[in-house]
Amino acid sequence: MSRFKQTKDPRGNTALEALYKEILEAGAEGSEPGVPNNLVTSLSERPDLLAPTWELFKGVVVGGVVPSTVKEMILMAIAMQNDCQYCSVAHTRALEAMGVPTEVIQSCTSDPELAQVPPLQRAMIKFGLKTARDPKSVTDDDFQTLRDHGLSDGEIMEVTMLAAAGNFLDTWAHVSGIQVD
Amino acid sequence: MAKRFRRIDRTENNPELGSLYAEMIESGLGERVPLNWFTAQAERPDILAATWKLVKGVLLQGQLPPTVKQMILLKISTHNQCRYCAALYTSALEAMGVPKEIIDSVTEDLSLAKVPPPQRAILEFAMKVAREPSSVTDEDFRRLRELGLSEGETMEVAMMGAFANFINTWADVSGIPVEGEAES
Repeated sequence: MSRFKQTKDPRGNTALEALYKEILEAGAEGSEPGVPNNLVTSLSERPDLLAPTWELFKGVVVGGVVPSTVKEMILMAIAMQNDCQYCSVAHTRALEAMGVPTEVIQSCTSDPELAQVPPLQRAMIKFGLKTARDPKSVTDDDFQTLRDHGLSDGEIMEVTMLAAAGNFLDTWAHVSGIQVD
Repeated sequence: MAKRFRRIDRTENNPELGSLYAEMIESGLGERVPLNWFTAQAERPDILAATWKLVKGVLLQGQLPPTVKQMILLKISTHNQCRYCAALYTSALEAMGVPKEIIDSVTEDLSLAKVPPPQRAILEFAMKVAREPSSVTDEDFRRLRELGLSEGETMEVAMMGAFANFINTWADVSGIPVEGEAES
């Protein structure tokens, strides 16, 4: 049960209406047609806070150069690490919709060794998990591992930001108490 | 620590980066160039644009007083042992004229004894959000409402907790030096 009021119909609130329109166009629909997902609607009381949260999501999760499937795998592994039910369900559904094989998804959710995940993606997920769990523990060697896999500094930056954004979204899902869509 | 991301100071040949930098400096987040936290993202102006909008919307604007926001950031940065961030927010609170005993209480005293009760409750709530978000209870929410905080203000406190971790994470992983200090 959400602790914050969730506005489904934004009419009459120009700022919220514009945000919902953009968010729905990007595909973030919840269980009801024409209404954004619960994470979005739980921020409806403060469109000024929804806007920067959406900008972060748009810039780091929707945009960027890392393939969407890899981003979703990183976010999924972090959601599991954070015990965030809302987010792990959302990322599982996203990965399924993208056609990622069930054994790869299950490896992200329940296998610490990520055995069914190809080596490059595995290295990225492990870096993301470490960043999210204990950012101070990330070493120069961890950077080198990703560079050895051919990642540029810009791509490593994106993985780092994804992990930080994953924690941010998981935190909001926990504290707002939103239900799975 | 080796430099992990190239920090870019000059933006002559990069108008996108130049306009972002100008906005940050205009907002007081840097003098000649923006803070290291931002310039370490210069390699990816698209990411910098997104994190800058987050900083602008959650930290520079909003309903909570700027001193309270900075105290939340300092408390959580100290807890996370983020040296870059703790130094930055201490300087900010000093510049805002917050008494030294209050700043010291935020960084050194777990009971926050010198922090006035309403702000203390806000700091404790944000800390709980940052440390273990699943442990926040309805009782924690009620406590803030009893102090007169609206639902929207409570949302802002919760978001500040998540935001502080975000800021700390980038500072730690990028390995940026404290403002004004040389690369170590």
